[in-house]
Amino acid sequence: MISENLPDEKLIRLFKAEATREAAFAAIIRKYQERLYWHLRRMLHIHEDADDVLQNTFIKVWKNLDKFREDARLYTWLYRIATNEALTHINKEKKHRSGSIDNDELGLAERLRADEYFDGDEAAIKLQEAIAQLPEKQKLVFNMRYFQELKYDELSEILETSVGALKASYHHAVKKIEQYLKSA
Amino acid sequence: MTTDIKNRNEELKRKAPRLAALLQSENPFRIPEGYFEDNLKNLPILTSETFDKDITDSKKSFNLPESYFKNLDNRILSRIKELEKSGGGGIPEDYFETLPAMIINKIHKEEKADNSNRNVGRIRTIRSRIVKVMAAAAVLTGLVLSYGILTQQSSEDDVLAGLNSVSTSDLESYLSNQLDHLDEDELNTVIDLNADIIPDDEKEWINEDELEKFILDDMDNATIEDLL
Repeated sequence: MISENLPDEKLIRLFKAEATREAAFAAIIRKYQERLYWHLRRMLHIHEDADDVLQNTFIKVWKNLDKFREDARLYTWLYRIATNEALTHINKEKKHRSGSIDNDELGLAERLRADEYFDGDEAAIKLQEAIAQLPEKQKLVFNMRYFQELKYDELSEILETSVGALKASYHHAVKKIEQYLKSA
Repeated sequence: MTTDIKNRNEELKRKAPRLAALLQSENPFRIPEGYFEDNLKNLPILTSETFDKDITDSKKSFNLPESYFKNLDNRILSRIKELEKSGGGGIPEDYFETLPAMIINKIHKEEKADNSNRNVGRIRTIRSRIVKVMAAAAVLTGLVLSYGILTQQSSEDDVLAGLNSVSTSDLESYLSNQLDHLDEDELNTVIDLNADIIPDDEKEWINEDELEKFILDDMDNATIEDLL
């Protein structure tokens, strides 16, 4: 078994070699699975959805890691794939749901209350609704900045947005959430 | 805690106190028992300073579940192998060779089903719709015009408004009820569909005076009252 503690460059080299491909891939999964999972869980809220998207993310990684140019950091590349997969999932879900609530915070409250893996009280639900009502980019920036504790330069690489724009996004997100909580 | 995170938290308390307070609560998201395996203890401590926290710290807002990640790598690899076996979304062998025959068979089946379910009252061909609509239009035109003439209240606008208020589906429904005994062939002998049924030029349409003359000259009073 290949250790997940190896540096990313080594893991990628091992992945590109036929004999060690699977073992290296397993190591990459073990190395990043939790961070990616929680990133997805914050976006998707429901464990089953996060699980689905996480698996899809790693399947995409398997198919594309050969082409990874290593001019970006591996984990920012992984975050980018995971984020795009989550956004695809969210858009698909929106189309299936009846009604056309853009931010869908009403449906979210019900889903959280019904979710056996959500232990939060009404205040916690209110917070999730407040975050959910943000525009998609602001939601991402807030979640990744606060909960994933990513630095702005890392966020910039993942979201392909300038640091200045990201700081503005975060600032607006915080304001809007606070406003929502005040009015709720 | 890094300086960056400390500063971030301070700023949050200043600018958004309610939000800051809520964010101090424990992570409400739980993971199923056994979702993360015991690998928690062996999770890599990354070298980047952003990730030097101890993720098993129970004070952190996120609960780190157990056993979710048990064999996740094996599960994903199995799924990849399945995809590769099935061609990962590829097509069956000789798909393109059999496709034309499949399509033709499907067309034949649908045509057969159409023919066997044919219902005179619900003929769907464009030809029959034109026949029925024209027949209904002719009847209604006569009715509306004759009523207008007799009440001496008709104007061209009234007549057109009356005709326009009747929808095509109403006309078809009227015909289905009234003309059931007529089939398409009989209707076709009455109306020559090859002719230009609807004149392009409005001036060639039924002239109100001519129609009035026709009705008054060629129909007796009893007939007109029957129509009303």
